[in-house]
Amino acid sequence: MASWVKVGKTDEVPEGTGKYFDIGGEPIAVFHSDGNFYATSDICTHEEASLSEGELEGEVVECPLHGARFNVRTGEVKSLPAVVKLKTYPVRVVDGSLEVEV
Amino acid sequence: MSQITDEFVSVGLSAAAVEALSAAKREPDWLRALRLAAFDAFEKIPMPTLRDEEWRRTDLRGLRLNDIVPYGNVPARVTSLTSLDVALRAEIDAAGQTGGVVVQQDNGSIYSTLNESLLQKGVIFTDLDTAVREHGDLVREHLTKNVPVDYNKFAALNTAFWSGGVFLYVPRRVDVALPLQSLNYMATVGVANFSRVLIVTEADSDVVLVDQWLGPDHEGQGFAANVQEVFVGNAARVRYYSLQEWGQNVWNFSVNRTALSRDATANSLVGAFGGRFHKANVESALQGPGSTSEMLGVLFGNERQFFDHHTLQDHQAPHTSSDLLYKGALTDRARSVFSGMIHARPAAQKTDAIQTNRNLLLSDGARADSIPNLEIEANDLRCTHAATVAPVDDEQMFYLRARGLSETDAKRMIVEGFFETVLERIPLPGVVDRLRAVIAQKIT
Repeated sequence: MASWVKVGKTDEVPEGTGKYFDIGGEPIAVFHSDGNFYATSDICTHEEASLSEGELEGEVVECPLHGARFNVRTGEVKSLPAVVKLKTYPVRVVDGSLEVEV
Repeated sequence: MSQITDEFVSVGLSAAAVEALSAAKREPDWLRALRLAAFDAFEKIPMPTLRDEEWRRTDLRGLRLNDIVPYGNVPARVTSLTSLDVALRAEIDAAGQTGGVVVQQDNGSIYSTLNESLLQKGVIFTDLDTAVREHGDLVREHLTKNVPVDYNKFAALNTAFWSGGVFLYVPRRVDVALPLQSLNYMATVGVANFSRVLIVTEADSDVVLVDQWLGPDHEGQGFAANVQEVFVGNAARVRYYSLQEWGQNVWNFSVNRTALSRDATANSLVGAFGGRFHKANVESALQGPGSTSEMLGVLFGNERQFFDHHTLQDHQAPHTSSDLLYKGALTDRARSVFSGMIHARPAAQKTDAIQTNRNLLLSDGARADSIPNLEIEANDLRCTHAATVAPVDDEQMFYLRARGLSETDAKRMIVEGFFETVLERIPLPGVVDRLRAVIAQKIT
């Protein structure tokens, strides 16, 4: 049963960056892109790497390990070596706080 | 149920807690100093991250070190089986005839027995706390000589806070015919388990120890950091089996290292089925010529379990052999990592080493990573390694289903068949039955 979980303040995730949160044992990355927040699984679908430590360009994040790219809004794979779509989670901002539906 | 001592809850993992623990146990100075040196190492060694080679597939970010309570009041020792928890009695029953049993509950030993005939022959089988008091010199001579204090952050933590544990000593030429049983039971939520096993065997001796780690499922993070040091004397034979069946939210860190002397034989089995996170370093150091090490591993992950086995076959002397076979099955979204190293040092001519890791994926969300390594410094030897990761074979499924088996039954047969090549190398029927039961329970 999905529920909304507060993870932190919006200023914890500056524009153009991503941050890792552990939500009930799930590794989740929250990205701040073009004024919007998006949440995805933090683990690259190719190998065990943290996407929140990757480079974010617009809506696309690049995995720091082998360069796989994903669209953080839709989870779509943008380049190899990843082939499996990234899981995404709904995000909302409530009174300056970030909430993720897990 | 034991109460958590307020003192230990408030200080958490600190040098003050180590001092308090050592004082409460009235330990000799050498041991207190060892614990403090270990805690110092624990603080200095940084927490592994995804950037460290050994941990690059092992995500530790969910571990809350600050939530670990290193010690809780130990329940009183009992002398009769009926005073033990039902679950423990069941395990002792299931083991059948043994040469002796040592039972740890949370942080201390609560029950131990040893056959009179073995006692007469000079065998020592008791908890490590007691061994420090009654056989201090023997313990001091061997403790941390196989797994050094700074082996890794979690071994250091164990060396600082170990409690309960097992000490097994077998004198020259003694053959302990019946297997010995150790039970390590995590009864209380939140209290960490720091068991330490020390096995020392003299020349020409023979012993089997089955070490079971268990506990009910608890809400909230559980933590276990354990270390096993095994010394096998000249031409001695040691069989050490550990079966990890912790409750569902336990983070387990193990370091197991066996040192083999001339013509020694060691057989080990690592069974991993419980917990949320399981990391084990398993090593054989073939220091004496003619020594042999057999290393078996069985794991079955389901839901979101994670298993990481980091093994080492360290050939240091000539004419040594090792044979490692680790097999794992994974379903749901479980993950495993296997990284095995065969290291043949310059003196290790005529080494014969094999390393095999096979993984069976039973669902789309499961994942296994298998990385075999060889580091060869000698030039007259044989080293082989094999690694496979595969889903259930479609043709095998079709064959079985075409003969009237349901999909579930067919899968069960294939999984049982998969593990059979490891199980057939285990000469203890009780252990094999137990493994079969645990495996059957995990197949859905």
